[in-house]
Amino acid sequence: MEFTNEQVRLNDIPSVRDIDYEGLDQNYLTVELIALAVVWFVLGIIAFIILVFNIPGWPSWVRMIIFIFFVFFMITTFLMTIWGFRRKQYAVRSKDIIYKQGLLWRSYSVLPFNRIQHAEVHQGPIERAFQLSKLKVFTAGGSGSDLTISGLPFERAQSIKHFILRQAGRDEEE
Amino acid sequence: MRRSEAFELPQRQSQFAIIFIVLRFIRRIIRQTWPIFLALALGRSNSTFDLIEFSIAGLGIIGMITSIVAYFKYYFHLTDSELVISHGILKKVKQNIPFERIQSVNFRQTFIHQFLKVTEVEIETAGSAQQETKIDAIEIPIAEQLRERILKKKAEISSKEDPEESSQSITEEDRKTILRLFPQQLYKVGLVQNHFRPIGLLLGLAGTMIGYSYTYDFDDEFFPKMIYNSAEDFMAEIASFQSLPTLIYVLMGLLVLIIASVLYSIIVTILRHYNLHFWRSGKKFQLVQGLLTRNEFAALDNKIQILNWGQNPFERLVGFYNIGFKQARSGDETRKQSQFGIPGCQQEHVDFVRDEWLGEDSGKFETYHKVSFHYFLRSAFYLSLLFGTISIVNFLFGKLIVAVIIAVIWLIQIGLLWANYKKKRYAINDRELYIGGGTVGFRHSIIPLYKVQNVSVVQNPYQWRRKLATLVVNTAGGRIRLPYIMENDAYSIMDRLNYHVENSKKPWM
Repeated sequence: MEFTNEQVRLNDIPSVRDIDYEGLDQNYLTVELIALAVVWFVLGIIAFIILVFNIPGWPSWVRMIIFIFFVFFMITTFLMTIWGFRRKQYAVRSKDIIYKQGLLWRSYSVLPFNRIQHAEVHQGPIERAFQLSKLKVFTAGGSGSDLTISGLPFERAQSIKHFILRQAGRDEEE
Repeated sequence: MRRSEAFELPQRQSQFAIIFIVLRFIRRIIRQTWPIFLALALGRSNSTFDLIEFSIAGLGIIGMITSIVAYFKYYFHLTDSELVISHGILKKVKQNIPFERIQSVNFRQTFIHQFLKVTEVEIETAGSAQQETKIDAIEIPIAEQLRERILKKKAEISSKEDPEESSQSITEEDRKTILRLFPQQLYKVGLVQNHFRPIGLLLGLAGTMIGYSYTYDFDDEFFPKMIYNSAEDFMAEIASFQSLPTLIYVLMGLLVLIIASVLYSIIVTILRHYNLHFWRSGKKFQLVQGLLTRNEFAALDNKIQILNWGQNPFERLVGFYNIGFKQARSGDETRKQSQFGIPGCQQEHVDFVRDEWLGEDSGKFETYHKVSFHYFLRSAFYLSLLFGTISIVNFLFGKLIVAVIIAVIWLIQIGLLWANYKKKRYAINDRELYIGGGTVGFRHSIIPLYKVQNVSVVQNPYQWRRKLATLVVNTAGGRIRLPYIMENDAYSIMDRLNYHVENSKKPWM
């Protein structure tokens, strides 16, 4: 193909910020919360044993403070998970896939289809119970540049995967 | 079977290959069984003595026989479409390597190879998990013919599939030498290498030991009393500057250290870059170098993702640059094979390489942008918090010297951060992205926009509160970070990069 180099007005380039994003499946929040609850349940048992049986022999006010911190952190992580969930959004354009996430540490990634090596849909046992799945998109840039979107409805993940692979294939044929 | 220069018939390697097969056998045996021999040798009595001797002799004989048989069972030849290698004593193995999958044919010579005038041939294949194939030893002229034949056939095949590429197949005459380094230049190159590394390592080690012995209490048994005392005295003397002889010893020690590291750098440079030859042929850069082991590297234009060039402070004094290529890695290829550097280049070499790779007029940018001052401020703040606390605590506990040393290190660190911030800059035009930086030296990187794999904008809480962001550009050969630029700029660069990548039909890997 001949190399062309017409000028592009910077304002004409489509921006990743002016598009509508889709959130993840609401069920995925349930999955995340269950996973978090399991962690806190285990931590809770440990805290319970330490505080109620008072193994180190701390005075009651120390135990009180630890208890308050424990509850505070627990509530914070649940709130962060709920707020963070809302910020996990994706969008599929005709030439790329975009994923943004993060409440405190934010990230915004774009993967052009013509740089994608392959795509996979994964489903673990818990995800299967909620009919969810994980879309993994691989590029040649090493593991750091791969993209994983969890919490997509199974059919949706499949159709995105097929769309991506079709677009990537079309690009190679042209 | 007579060795023929027609590669259609199965033929053996050079007889010398037996040596390398034997060596590999010995290496493997030693690696797998040395603990046993060590145990036997340590717990040696008269009866086990025989056992060791016998087993070594036995293994040796078995090794010799299998190696010789392995040599006679090893054949390679070329068909119309593949390189075929068959080997194996008990288990027959036949490897068929289609020409179109062969990425490159490299020669590697250890000093034994050089002495015997043979070369190891590495056949690098693309896109498979399979490791590259090696032929232990072939006479050099035959190896060169083999390589030429393989590359010619490969070119023929790919030209059939893609007529455009046929014009790209090239002959050896197109070689353009970019740089040659002979021993007399190598000394100079070695002299301006980064000596800070070995010095820093040794100083760091010494510093840690002195620091430890100083901060431990008197009755601490972790360090012998003698070291503690001498370190204590040593610090006190430095602090008071009263005992001149000690100061002289310290300075002399430093001088010896510097000379040692300079010598070390020169020796390493000569071993690694001996008779360096760096040239351009067709659409690739090639490099051959090394004294004990001749190493050959190749970088195809398509596979190069990032071009680096830089200077450490010494190189800056004499106007040397080092050029580095970061290539796309395929399969099991190691980082070492996909990245290589050339020292001792001049500005004109840098320009030549860049223009050859990216086309005429590459690397021209209208404006260079700086990163935000917060890049310095935030790191400096946390660094000061850490060092300041340690320093003040030490001061309050009466450990004045430690406090002063930490304060000095802190100041140096702040200075380095400042230098790093001042040098960090970036530029973008409609073809390339440039990122420059460095701390004591300079480092420049350039990426053609279409080679980008994907782009991310990441923000920590400090950044998004100030409308700043870090841009992460991933390529198939590594990633480049552009820290603390304006959020809007980060997104607009992201959009531009995506636009270029998505509209590009150029082969990028």
